[in-house]
Amino acid sequence: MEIVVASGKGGTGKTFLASNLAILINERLDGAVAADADVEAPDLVLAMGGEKKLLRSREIWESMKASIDYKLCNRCLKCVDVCMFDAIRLVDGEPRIIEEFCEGCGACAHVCPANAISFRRTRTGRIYSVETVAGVKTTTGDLEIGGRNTGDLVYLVREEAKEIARGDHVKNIVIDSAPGIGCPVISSLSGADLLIIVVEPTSQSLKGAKRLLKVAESFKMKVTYVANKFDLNEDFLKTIDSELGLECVGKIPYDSEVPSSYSMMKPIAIHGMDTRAGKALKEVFENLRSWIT
Amino acid sequence: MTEIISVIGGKGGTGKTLVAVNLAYMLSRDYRTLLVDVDVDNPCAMSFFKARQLWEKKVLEFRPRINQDLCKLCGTCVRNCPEHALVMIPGKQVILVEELCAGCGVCRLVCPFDAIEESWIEGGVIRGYETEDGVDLVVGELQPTCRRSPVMILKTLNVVEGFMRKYGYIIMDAPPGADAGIYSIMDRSEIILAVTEPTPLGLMDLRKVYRLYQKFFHGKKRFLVIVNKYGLPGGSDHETRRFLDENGIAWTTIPYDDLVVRSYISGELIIKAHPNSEAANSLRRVIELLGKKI
Repeated sequence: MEIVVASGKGGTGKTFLASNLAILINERLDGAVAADADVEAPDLVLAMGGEKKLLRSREIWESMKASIDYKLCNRCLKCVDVCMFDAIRLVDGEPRIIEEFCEGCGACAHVCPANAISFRRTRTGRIYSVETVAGVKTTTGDLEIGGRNTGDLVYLVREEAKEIARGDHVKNIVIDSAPGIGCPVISSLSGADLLIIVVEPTSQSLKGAKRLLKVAESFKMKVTYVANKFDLNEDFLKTIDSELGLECVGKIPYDSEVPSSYSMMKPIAIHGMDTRAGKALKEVFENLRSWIT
Repeated sequence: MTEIISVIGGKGGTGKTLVAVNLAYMLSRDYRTLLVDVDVDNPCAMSFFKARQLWEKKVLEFRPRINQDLCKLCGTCVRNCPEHALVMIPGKQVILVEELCAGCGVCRLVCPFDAIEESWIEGGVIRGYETEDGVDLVVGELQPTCRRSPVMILKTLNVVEGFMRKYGYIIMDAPPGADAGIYSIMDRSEIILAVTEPTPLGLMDLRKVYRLYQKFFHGKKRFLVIVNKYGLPGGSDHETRRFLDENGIAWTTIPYDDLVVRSYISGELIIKAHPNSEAANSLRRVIELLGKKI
């Protein structure tokens, strides 16, 4: 089963929940592999106590980028007009490719009457799998700085995590999604079984959760939510409940042990189950059992 | 002379919007100021202002519509679609898998029978507001189920470029991350203000946006850091400070403070609602960090 932890808004506690759930499922249910799908800011391994052993690593060179041969280019500028991504700009009478925006779709090459446009492969990023100190094998995607193709990289991360899970006869994969609702998030949700939305008791976080829910509705998946740092604004919980219309699998209080657990790289699920956050986490885990199995 | 300051962060939830809205408010006391919310996945800057909408601009995304009468099932579009969003059902028809389509339009260009007509869906919307606090506001918002956040960011920036000259300052509230969308926001700015938090996760993501800055903009733009939630119990202030000092990055702090959290929850500008608080003082130090006087 693929379980996605996501949130719409950033900083609500996705990585906190994903890391600790993965540890609990791994230890107390039938095992888990984790996947860090926040390829622009991958932190999941850190949250699981860091890397114990590198299992595998590979570079991904799948991003196609257009380039113009100016000896052939006749400056007709058809390519500038056809590009849907504003990736070709007119500079001093010449078309200029802005690589960071190029999707490599090939539209420019199709309209170029001079055959002046060709494509080359560039680095998309890296995918690597490690055994974490917490014992959960984790696959991470790390996007090339300033890159695109986040969705492609997330897809590959999930494939590698599945491969590891199959090899180890492990049933569950916990995916730590990127914030937002865009390409990497859609790529995390597509084909997954369960979405856990992490919501803080703020209007900004609720807005993100609702937008995420709208995206999730286009996929056939079960959806639930966790209210994180709920005691910061308890009055707001009713609003969250009625506006999301989802079953809540738990409420986690604000607890300074959580940032401490990161700084000391000692996950709550291992070293802090007696803290306020730890006890709440256990409850979330118990409530989730029926969703997972 | 217009100066553009982008507020970025790498990690989510570090306090980008907190800094952006308060900074915009402070600058708007003395300068005509525009706040641009380019966190198109989940724009929230609006929640801090009483705003009146002035205009709206829809961003359209191409989608192919296959004219079955003209389609000869040759498969050219299927082979050329870079996203594999067109699927051939042999002997029957070509269908579009909507969720995979990036809207590039290649299918229409390659179809030898002109069987692909263009249609457009709403990929997002850009809105302009005036606020009671004197800050003007532009918000770019991606339509849920649309995927192309970097494209939506770029379109929002392009719209702003059309009228930015009338402002003294433009503050851009960026999404988390370090992708092409963040690149385009940094590219348009004179000053990059990165907001981080003193945790190993915050530091890791700060390193990443700093590498992004170094790769493309080193020496061309200023890179400054705000360590928010400074003094967070159990936090890693020391490690964060060491990274900043070793790299010669100018920085300031906003203390870890309940008041900041409460202001955020109630959607108030801390600088306006609690002008004498330590948090407000620390936000004023951001202005000093920028080298501005207000």
